[in-house]
Amino acid sequence: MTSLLELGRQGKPITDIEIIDMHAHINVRFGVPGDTGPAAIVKAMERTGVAITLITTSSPVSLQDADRENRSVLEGVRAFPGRLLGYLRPWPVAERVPLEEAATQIAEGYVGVKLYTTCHVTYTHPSYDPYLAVAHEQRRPVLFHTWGQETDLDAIRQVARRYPAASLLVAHAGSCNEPEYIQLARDCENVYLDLTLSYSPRGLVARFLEAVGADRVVWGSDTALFSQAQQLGKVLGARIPDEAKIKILSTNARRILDRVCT
Amino acid sequence: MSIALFDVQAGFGGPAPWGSETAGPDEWLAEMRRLDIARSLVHTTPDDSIADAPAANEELYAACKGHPELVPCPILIPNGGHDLPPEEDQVARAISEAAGAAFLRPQKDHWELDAWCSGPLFQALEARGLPAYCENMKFALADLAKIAQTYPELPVILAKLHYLQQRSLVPLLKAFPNVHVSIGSNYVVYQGLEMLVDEVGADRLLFGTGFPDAEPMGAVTMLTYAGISDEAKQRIGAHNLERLMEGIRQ
Repeated sequence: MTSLLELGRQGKPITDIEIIDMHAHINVRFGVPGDTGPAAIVKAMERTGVAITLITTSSPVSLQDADRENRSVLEGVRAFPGRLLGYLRPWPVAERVPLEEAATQIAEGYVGVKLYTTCHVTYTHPSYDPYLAVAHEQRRPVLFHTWGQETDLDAIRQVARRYPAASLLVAHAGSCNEPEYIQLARDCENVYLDLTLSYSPRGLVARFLEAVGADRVVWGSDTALFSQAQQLGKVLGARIPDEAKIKILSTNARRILDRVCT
Repeated sequence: MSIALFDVQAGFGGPAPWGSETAGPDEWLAEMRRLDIARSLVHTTPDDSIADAPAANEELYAACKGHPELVPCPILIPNGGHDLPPEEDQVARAISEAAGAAFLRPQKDHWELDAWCSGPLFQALEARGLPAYCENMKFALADLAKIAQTYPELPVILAKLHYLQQRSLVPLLKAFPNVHVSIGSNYVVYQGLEMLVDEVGADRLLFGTGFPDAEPMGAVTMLTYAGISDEAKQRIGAHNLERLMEGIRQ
């Protein structure tokens, strides 16, 4: 049987396993000239064999812009059913919405929620509470943008304890402060380390596996900012067994998605 | 179709910036075998902790001896202080050691890019066709453009690009036909490779990994899965760098 490393080296699509990209964007509007729309992303997925990509907005600048971007995510999801899934990106400075309203927004067709510390709010900001509560009730994934700041990781620790049924994906794990990411995952069973990171530090995947186990690491690419194929390579080339690569690229994400109940 | 790989952006030496793992020549050779990388242009790392460039070059030459798959990329420095061999001699020595390019680090080695300081070095490199290996964080693109313009016969290799530089990179390549770029870390641009091939062709794009800082397989899959022709992949993978090496005047 051809190994995952060999398939990547040969540039052959990997279709024997269901590769799921848990972290991507559409309509990227900065620094990436080119087509970053849903169709272009799906076309790139064909080359690698990535089965499903979870997309969210790029960089909205206001509540109204975020609404527009969220709608475009839904359009992408509907245009490519089964290939693209969407995260809703709530705008944090909006007036706190009632729980029912948050549930209605998510039920429009999103699988989970993507949160940022936009406008310098923390992940424990009240405006995020209704969305996190829905994610908890419906066991949905929540993807957090992070860059190693202890305040962000501490806030996620609080969220993880308050909403233990939600699957919390900590993006850009290992961007800096690697031990803090590991500690967070060890402290909170519902936290997953997301490998999305442009510079792919050598050995990071293997270190995470050793520290928290293969069941707690998920793969994301940050396409259409980064090359999805480039980000795939860091897992295909990691010095870990193929069984662990399959968990990271596929089965962990599948388990997170299969937990969702509406 | 198997794509042959000649890595333009690799190195070995002290501990990597992330983690505590050291990466010596044996580790890199093993990694090359594992990923089926046939040859690599190598420099000493981490270069920002190397103060004694001539000593580092001697170690590099020694490490590459007996390994034709390792092509040294020594650090060369203008001899304004008369503490080093003349520039022509530095270049000649590098070529005699089968070097594939000269690693330039003006800030670390305390020299200026203007001709009154570094002209003799760039002229010596240009005269022998030994490419100048320039990393992004060490050269502003404006400075690199000035070098490419002043020394039009000098092949310039730009490495360690950032993923948000595409809108400067395309015009740079269009304006200066002697500029070549490594697609190694941290060039991870979505559809970036495809766009560069469309805009400027495949002939000046060079496969690179970024070892030991970066996990090298990312650059491999960015190339092998790229939406470009197999011929373009072969050029980028190895042929372009081989062509540059062939242009070095022995």
